[in-house]
Amino acid sequence: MADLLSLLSLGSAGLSAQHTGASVAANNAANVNTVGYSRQRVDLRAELAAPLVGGVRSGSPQRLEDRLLARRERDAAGAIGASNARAPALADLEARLGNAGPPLEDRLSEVFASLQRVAASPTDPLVRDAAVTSFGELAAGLRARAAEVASARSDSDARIVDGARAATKLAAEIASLNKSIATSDDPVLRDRRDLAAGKLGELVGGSGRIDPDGAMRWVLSDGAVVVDGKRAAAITATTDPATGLHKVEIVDGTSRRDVTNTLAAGSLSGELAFRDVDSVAAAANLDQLAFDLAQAANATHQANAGLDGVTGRNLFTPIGTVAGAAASIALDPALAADSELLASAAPPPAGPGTNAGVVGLLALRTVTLTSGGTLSDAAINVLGAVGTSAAEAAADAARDADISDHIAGLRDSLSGVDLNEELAKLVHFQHASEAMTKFLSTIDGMLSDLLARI
Amino acid sequence: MRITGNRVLDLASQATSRAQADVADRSNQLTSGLRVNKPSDDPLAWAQARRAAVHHATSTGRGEGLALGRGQLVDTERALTTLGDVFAEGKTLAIQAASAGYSADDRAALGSQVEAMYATALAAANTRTSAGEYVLAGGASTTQPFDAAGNYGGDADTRSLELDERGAARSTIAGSSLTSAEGIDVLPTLARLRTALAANDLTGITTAIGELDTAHQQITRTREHLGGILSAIDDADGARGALEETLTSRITDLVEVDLVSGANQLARSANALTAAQAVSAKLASLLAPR
Repeated sequence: MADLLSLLSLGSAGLSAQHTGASVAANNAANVNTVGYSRQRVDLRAELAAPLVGGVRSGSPQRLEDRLLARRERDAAGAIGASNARAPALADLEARLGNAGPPLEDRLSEVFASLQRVAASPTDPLVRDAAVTSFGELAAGLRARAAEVASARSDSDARIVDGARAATKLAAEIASLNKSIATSDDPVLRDRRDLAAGKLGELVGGSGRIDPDGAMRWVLSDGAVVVDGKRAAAITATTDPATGLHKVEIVDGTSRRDVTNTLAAGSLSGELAFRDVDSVAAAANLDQLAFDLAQAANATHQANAGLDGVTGRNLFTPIGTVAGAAASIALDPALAADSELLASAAPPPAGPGTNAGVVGLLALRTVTLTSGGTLSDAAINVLGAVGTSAAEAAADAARDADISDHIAGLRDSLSGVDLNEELAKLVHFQHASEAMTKFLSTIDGMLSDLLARI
Repeated sequence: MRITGNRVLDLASQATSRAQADVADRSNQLTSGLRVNKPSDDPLAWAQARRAAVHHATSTGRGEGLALGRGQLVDTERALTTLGDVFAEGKTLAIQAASAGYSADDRAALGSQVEAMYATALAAANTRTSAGEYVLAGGASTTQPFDAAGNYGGDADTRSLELDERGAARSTIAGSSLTSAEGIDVLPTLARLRTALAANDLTGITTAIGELDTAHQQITRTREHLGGILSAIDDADGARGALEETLTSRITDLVEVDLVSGANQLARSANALTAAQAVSAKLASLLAPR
């Protein structure tokens, strides 16, 4: 009697274990398309007991995860976040510079072509007007590109502000989930935390470590703590009065830590690299070109004479410093209004029909600048350097995407749900449940028989 | 390694996306005819093509300058030809007038003829371009170089133009080459013949023959010099044309698509896309729950 009752208990436990297994498989199948979901597994274990009263028990469902892999995934998220931010920003700058009118080197070529015509016919007003116009268009082309670089930089700065705001929300979400996880075993909370951590990593880089108490601690590469248990710092973008652009700070209570120059990964780092390095380099190239052009052209122009025999005039308005030269370069207003002032002739006593002034301006074409090339080389380099950086950043982004994809594949191999596998498990557990039901029914029959005989 | 159905579908989807992007890229290249549209497509090829384009534009600009300079030289050559013709004819008339059979009236009549020829020569020496420049004025090209007496008021300055990458050459002839700086003041010799004919001055006529001969030779030398410049410009122009063809071909090689290989690559990409789509469809049907 007692043995039969034990068998009933054994069957009941087995039925319960199979139901748990079926329930976990069904839950996995239902979440096959849930982003960030880690499949769960229930382990059935044999009961250690006398030979006839063994049976099976189910443990609690386990979330299948590999912490090392999860960490690699978060690190990869930081890298891809950085390259995915920098590559499109550079591509956008490349497009902006490319679409800002005819290429600078073509503008320069037109200047030199018009000077060739002035050299051949220095007193022809139409030819002189065309030359002055071409200088004006070159200056306008430089200004337009300087404006595009400034605009791209400003757009990047705005994205940094948005990114900082989003990162603050994610940090707060992780801290909140840490708090919930401390009091709950719900694996969905860990999935959500991993998902939020991946997004935070994509924004600011850094790494998340799971502390012994199960809380995630998020630390940036320079040691700045963003999330510590239930506490989250704010990632703020505050205006830097010196530049007018935003700096990124980690604010925790009264403590502020500037991480603008130390963020090593994440889209904020990519944007900062674009804003503070790539666009600055593009602006510097433009400024140097504008400065060199204005300095060299003015020096030659001042040494020669216009049709009125007067020397000492500038071709461009004087530029004091390299910084900002491209944004401010402009044709001398008097020359713009009267092309007769173009210093095409040699100084008096030579007459206006000489062309030593133009020949001098034409010689600027082959002058080697401090950068090592000619004016045309420098003009080509303005867009070429951006294009080279854009190509490198695109290659970096593709490489990081491949790495990320590889890690995603590894994660999927452990934590991903395979529908066929889960359906097979469901069938398995269903059949096992049916067997258990039959077993229970048989025991029940035996018990009924026994009771009837008594 | 365990591979889930979703992962297989992801990989198939990625392969399809890559194949689609590849087909789009190849199609764009074929329709635009350009392999390199922007620097990031191929930074090195782009930079080389831009340098070649600058080189080409420089050459074209130089050609425009040379064409203008050539036009002025042709105007100058026309003026010198007229001067040469006038002085050759003047010398002939002087030799005729020196003949003992000519009377004072005959010489006076020849003097009138020389008067008209002098006006022609003076006008030729003061020839202007369509832009209004005096071709023989040197640097003072906005001022009439020869006055009514044939005295030169211009200077000896000339202009130079780039012929090619390596050098420049004089592109104008100053009227000073028709003055005593280069031999004799050309125009006054004709004026002196006119005066001698009017005065029936046989000695003056005889002297004028020698002067006219010297003047004619001086004009011829100037024309020869001008012819040398024109020839150099024409040579430079021919070389320029060849250079520009080479540069155009180089730019084409660097940035344009070879249509045959481009079409082959597009066909290969299209096949890859079709295969990727077929695999995706098959996987989707195999993995779909029944």
